[in-house]
Order: sequence, then C-alpha cells, then structure tokens
Amino acid sequence: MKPYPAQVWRNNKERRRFLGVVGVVETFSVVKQGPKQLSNRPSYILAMVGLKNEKTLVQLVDVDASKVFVGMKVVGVLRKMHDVLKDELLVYGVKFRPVKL
Amino acid sequence: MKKVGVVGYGAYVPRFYINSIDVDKRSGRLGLSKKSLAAWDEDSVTMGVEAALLAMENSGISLEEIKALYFGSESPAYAVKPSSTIVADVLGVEKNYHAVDLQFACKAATAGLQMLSAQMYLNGGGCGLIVGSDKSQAKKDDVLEWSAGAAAGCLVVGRNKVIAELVSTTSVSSDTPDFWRRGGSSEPSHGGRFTGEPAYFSHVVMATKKLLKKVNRKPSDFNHVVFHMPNGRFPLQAAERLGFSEKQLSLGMRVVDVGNPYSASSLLGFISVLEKAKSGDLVLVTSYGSGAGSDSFCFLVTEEIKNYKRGFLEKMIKNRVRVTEKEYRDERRWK
Amino acid sequence: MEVSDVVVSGVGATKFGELWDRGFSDLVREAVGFALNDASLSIKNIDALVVGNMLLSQINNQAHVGAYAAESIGHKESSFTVEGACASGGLAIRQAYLMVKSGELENVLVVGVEKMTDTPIEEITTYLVGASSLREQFVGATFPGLYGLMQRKYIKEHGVDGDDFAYVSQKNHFHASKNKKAHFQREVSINQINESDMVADPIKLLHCSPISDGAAAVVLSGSKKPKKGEVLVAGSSQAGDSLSLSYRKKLTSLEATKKAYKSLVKDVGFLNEDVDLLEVHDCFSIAEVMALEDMGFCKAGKGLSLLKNGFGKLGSSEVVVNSSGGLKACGHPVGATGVKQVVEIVDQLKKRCGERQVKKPFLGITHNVGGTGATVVMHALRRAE
Repeated sequence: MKPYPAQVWRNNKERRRFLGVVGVVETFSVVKQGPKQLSNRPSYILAMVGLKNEKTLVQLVDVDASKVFVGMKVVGVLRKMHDVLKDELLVYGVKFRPVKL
Repeated sequence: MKKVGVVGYGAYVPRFYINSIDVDKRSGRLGLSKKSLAAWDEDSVTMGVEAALLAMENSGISLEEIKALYFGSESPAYAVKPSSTIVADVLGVEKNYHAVDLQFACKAATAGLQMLSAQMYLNGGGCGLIVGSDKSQAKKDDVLEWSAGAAAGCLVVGRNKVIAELVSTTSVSSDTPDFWRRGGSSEPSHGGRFTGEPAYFSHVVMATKKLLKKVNRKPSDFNHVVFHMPNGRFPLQAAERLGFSEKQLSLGMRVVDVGNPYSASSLLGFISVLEKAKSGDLVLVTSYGSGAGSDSFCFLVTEEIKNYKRGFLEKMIKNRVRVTEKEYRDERRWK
Repeated sequence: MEVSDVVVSGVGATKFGELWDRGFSDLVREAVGFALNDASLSIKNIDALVVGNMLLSQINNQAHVGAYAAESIGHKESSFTVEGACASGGLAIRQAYLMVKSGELENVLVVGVEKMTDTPIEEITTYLVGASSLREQFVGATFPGLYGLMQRKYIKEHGVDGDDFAYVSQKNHFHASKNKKAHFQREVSINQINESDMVADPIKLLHCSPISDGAAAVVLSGSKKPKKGEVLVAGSSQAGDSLSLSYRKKLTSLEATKKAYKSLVKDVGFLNEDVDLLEVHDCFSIAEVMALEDMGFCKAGKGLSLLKNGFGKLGSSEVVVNSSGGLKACGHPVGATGVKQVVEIVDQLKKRCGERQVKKPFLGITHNVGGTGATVVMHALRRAE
C-alpha cells in the first residue's frame, strides 16, 4: 500500500467528500490486529455509516469502543489514515467522530 | 481606505486532555493545570484544517474570496513540503491563491499575520487565512513535557466586515538561542532558566513597550492583553512588569486549559478574547518565538463583532475527556 | 464439438496446516501426485492445468503462477491461474468444468494451492485484505473486521444470542477430528469458543478460520457415457455482488449465494431435501450461518437455531455440512479451499471417508466465496447412475 505521489494526488478530491458530513452508525466492529500500516496502533473501530444517499465504511475516532452504539450520530473529520515509512508521503483522509462530544 | 483586520476566526482544541499534575507533580509551580492531547492520527495539518473550517463557517466567507493561506508551525508535517497547500486543498481552495509556510518557534503564525495584513492592505479585495497549529513535542521527563500541548487557531484577515481592526504592529528580534530543534530530532532542546529573562521577558517587554509608544497609549488604555503563554507564570510576570493587571490578562489565559500549543498559544489567547470582547475594546497581543523575537499588535474591536457568530470555544474546551496517566504513557495512542 | 459430461476422474489433497517443510511447488507436486494416481493417469495425459491461487505473486513476486506450477509437475502444454480471492479454487474448478464440458479438452487438471505461513501475521493480514476493495483497505478494513460488522448487524437484526455462533465451530471441529488431513484434529467445546479472545469484536478467535498451507487437486475428464459409480460434476454456477460492503443491499446475507444456488438448482434440477452433503464457505462462523439461510435450508435469522438443533452434524442430521471440517477446522489455504471442497464431496460419494463417512451419499454441493461475497461459485456433484 505504498503511497505513490500520483495516486495520493489523484485521491486528494476524495478527502473533501465526507469532511463535515454527518451520518449514523449502522454497524461496527473493533479491530485488534490491523494491516501492516496500522499494526503499531491500538485497537480501532470500523463502522458502516449511513449517509443521505449511501453507506460508507469508515474508522471511528475520539470515542471508546464501549461507548459506540448503532444509531450514533457521527461527523467526518480529517485525520492521518495510517502510519507510513520514514521517507513515504503522509496519507490524509476522513475518519468519523461522534457529533456529541 | 478600508481598515484591515480580523474578519473571522476559528480554533481547534483536541478532545482529550491530561491534568498536568499527572504528567509531573511539580507542574503547579509553573501555574499549569491541564494540557491537551492530540491523537496519533492528528497533526498540525489536521488540526489546522479543523480551525480553518470553523473560521470559514463562522465568518461566512466563500472559497473564492480566499487569496492566501499562511501556515505557521514548529511541528510541520514535513521538513520540506508546504502544509499551507495541504490545508488549502482540503478546504477546497483552487489554484489562484498564495501559500506560505512559516517557521519561527511559537510566533510563526503572528509573523504571518503581519505579512498577510500588509498583503491585504496592498492588494484590496478578498481575504487570507492565517493558521497557527502545533502538536507540541518535548523530551521525556523534561520540564517542557509538563506544558507541551496541541491546538490550532485560524484568523481570517481582510477588509470587509472587520471585527477587530489591526491598528498597529511592531516587532523585535535577536539571535538568542533559548530553545531550538535540530533537523532530524523530533523533540526540542532548551536552555533551562536562560529561557526566562534574556529570552521571553526581554523580547516580550521590549516589543510591547515599542508598540505602546508607537500607538501612544498606556497599559491601562487596553481592555485586554494577551502574551504568549509558555506556562501559567511568565505571562503574569510580564504583565506585572509592564503595568497590566491580572484582570486584563484573564480572558486570554488559555494555558490553564490546553498547556502550551506553541504557534497556537497567543493565537488561541487572542481568539478567546474575541469570543467575549465588546465593540470598542482595545486589545494588545504580544507573541514570543524562541531564537528569538516578539511581534506586538494593537487591535480595536469594531461594531461588527455584534454580528459575528461566537461562543464555540468554551464548549469545545468543556466537552473533553480526561486521560489517566496510564493511558497517557501508551505512546501508540498519541505519538 | 459436442458437449460432454464432466467426470471427476481423480482427486487428492495434501494435509492442511503449518507445513514448514513444504513450499508452494512441493504442495503442488504432492496434491497432483495423489490426483493423477487416483485417476490412473500420467501428467502426459493432461491437456491443461488450471491453478487456483491468490497470494503467491504478492508474497514472493512470482507471477505467471500457472506456468510456475506447471513447471513443478513437468506439464508443458497449457496452464493459467484463476484468481478470485478465497474463491480462486472454486473458480478454477469452474473454468476446468467449462473447458471440458465444451468438448474442446479431454483431461484438465485443477490445482488449488496456497502457502501462507511463511509470512508474519500482520503481513498476511495485509495481503488478505486485498480481497476487499481499495477504499475499504484505505480505511483500515481487515477480514475479521468486515465480517464482524456483518455479525453485529445480524445479531441486532434477528435478536439472537451471539454465543450461539459457537455451534458452527463445534460441529466443524467434530468433523475434522475424523479427518487426518485437517489442520486441527481436536474437538472444541462451546465454552472454549465463547471464551476465546476477541479478534474483531464481536468475532472471536475460535470463530475464525486459520492461516494454513495446503493444496488440493482434481482431474476433470470428458465422457460421452459416464459409468455407474463415477462422480459427475452435474452443474456449476457463479454469481456476484459489489466488491465493497457499502454498496450491498443487505449486510446479513449474500445475494451472490442466493443467485448462484438458484441457478445451480435450476440447471441441475434438485430440491434441498435431495442434498446429502454441503461444503460451505465458513471463513467465519457467521458466513456458514448466512450460507445455510441463503440456500434456503431455513428462513433468514433461523440459521443459529437450525445449527443448535444439530442440523449438519454427522450422525444427527440428514444432510452433513462441512464433513471435511470446513474452513474453520480443516484449514483455509485460500486458493486450495474451493478445490478441497470438491475433493471431500468426491471422497464421500466414493465412500472413502472412513470415520466421517456419510451413509448413503448421492448428491453434494460446494459453496466457495470470494472476499465478503463479491464472488460466489458453486458446484453440484453426484454419482452417475
């Protein structure tokens, strides 16, 4: 999953798409062992979030897994998606956090 | 000529904080209370984006109006590759803008404020964004760790619907090596007590006095004053020496809530003042950047402040989650 | 060319498990050896080799996998690889079936093979998630994470007890305890399963199929008049759905399974009550539950109680589900599974399964899934009359 410059650049418009958009958690799971680029991080939450006309798979942040519930309102924010190697480009994207902090 | 000044603002404080006393039991000596913690997937860019988005939302400016974006940080995402362009791109600003990345320890953003104001003054229409954002780092068990916080502030600068007119600004600089970070190191080093008198106080006092003289005012003329806040003691001492009261300092003393978010420190203090200031208020802001220098500003709050959407900052700071010492020590969550 | 019947003339498989002493080529050679022997054929009789494999080109930078496998068994005629994530094996069978059925080729050898245990766990997790979409990978998806979402939705939608998912692994381990070639050959209890560590809440360790090495091979041959006792591939079907979970209509069933099964039933002409054996794709326990519901063995939401009441268990049920031990207990070398499923059904139909032999087997169905359900390929195998 090396972040090649051209691919990172083409994906730039994607990160604007869900920024600030509010959705509802439809289901989620808590991943303990992530892929290589997330393996040095604590468990994280994968959620299927329902938006106006579509569903999207996202990571939830700023919330403890025990406090997540189906029906929770969440909003898209910019975050680093995962770790990269020392000389690789950083990868920013949208994760979702609870609307009600 | 239409006045130049702050047209809008936004800020971001992370959701998590730790009581300074859980970082080190002696932190009370420095007047510290809490410091904000940014998650591992946050950095100066992501925080800067949050502050800028809020600034745009609250001020109602459109993307087309944005002519420049200045980004000041001492924890930039890259050693070489501008963060200003990343923030602008995420916001949706198209190519027709000027992007600048700035570095000057904790005063990177205020230098940007001076330059952008001059640019707006010269070039008329549109507006520009200043972002000051830092995810402060400190060596483990170093006194700097007690206060190293994270936050971002954003000011929109322009000439339409100015809420705080920039009346005057001035600066002082010198080669005073009080605090530095070499390329390749992830944490800064500092000169201990040397960071006090010859560094912080010398420049903050000199720049403020210079500004007072320039605008022909005395300390008591000001409703509010903001100094860069490396801890909870230095700003109080600077105020005392210059003849400002604790009351004048009170609105801007954000260090007790977030610690020291470096480039966002004086910015956040100023934004805190704007959140509550009244039309006609005179505000003095003096930043400090190690290495070293100070920028001092005189702002006049205008009638427009009554129409500005305010009140988010207090809520943002209140709605946070406390992190225990054990959780704080799990670096995978924060670094 | 006249259309042929497709006979399974030989089958064979290696043991599945952590096979440190055997690499990719060794596994291919072993499985092929068994299959050719079973078919009483030599490699010279093989017209084409179809390989089912997902990961070799990623792990070892060895692309051209068909040719690589062919080289290891001395086959020089024609070869190619079929890849459809975890359905690679089933898809390879399907390709071979179509090639033979068309009458163009007489003997086609299928090898499903995967060597997974050389790489550390976080690397293999990363490679495996290549079976989902790029965007799902971008947000940090893993397979337990994706199926975990589905399981949580299933529990909420049907108001079931999550602990009941344990009946899947318990049954499959019971079957595998009678299978010398299974990765795991010991039984596990309901308690052990429910007390195992969370992998991706709500999915627990003992709900998940393991990382295994292994190969399975099958020879498909054209026949104008199949002899009594021979095993025929009576039908083959494939259906699909969106790669990304977020575009699916439902997260608690696989549309592709429904379509593929319906099409198979129509082509071959049978009823659920005619089925004696099912090898379904239990990559995670929830997958087996959905499979049984999607194939109509019970209504949606009733899969757990069906299994709890003994459905599918050797000795207690009319139809035996995953007599091999399934993916969970027999193991899941990704590219090999779909072929192994066919090997198991054939061995059952030929009454070669020893302790796990089913009494009067006549018709068996295999169900192989790629990713979270973008690809489903199924086969019907029966004894010739």
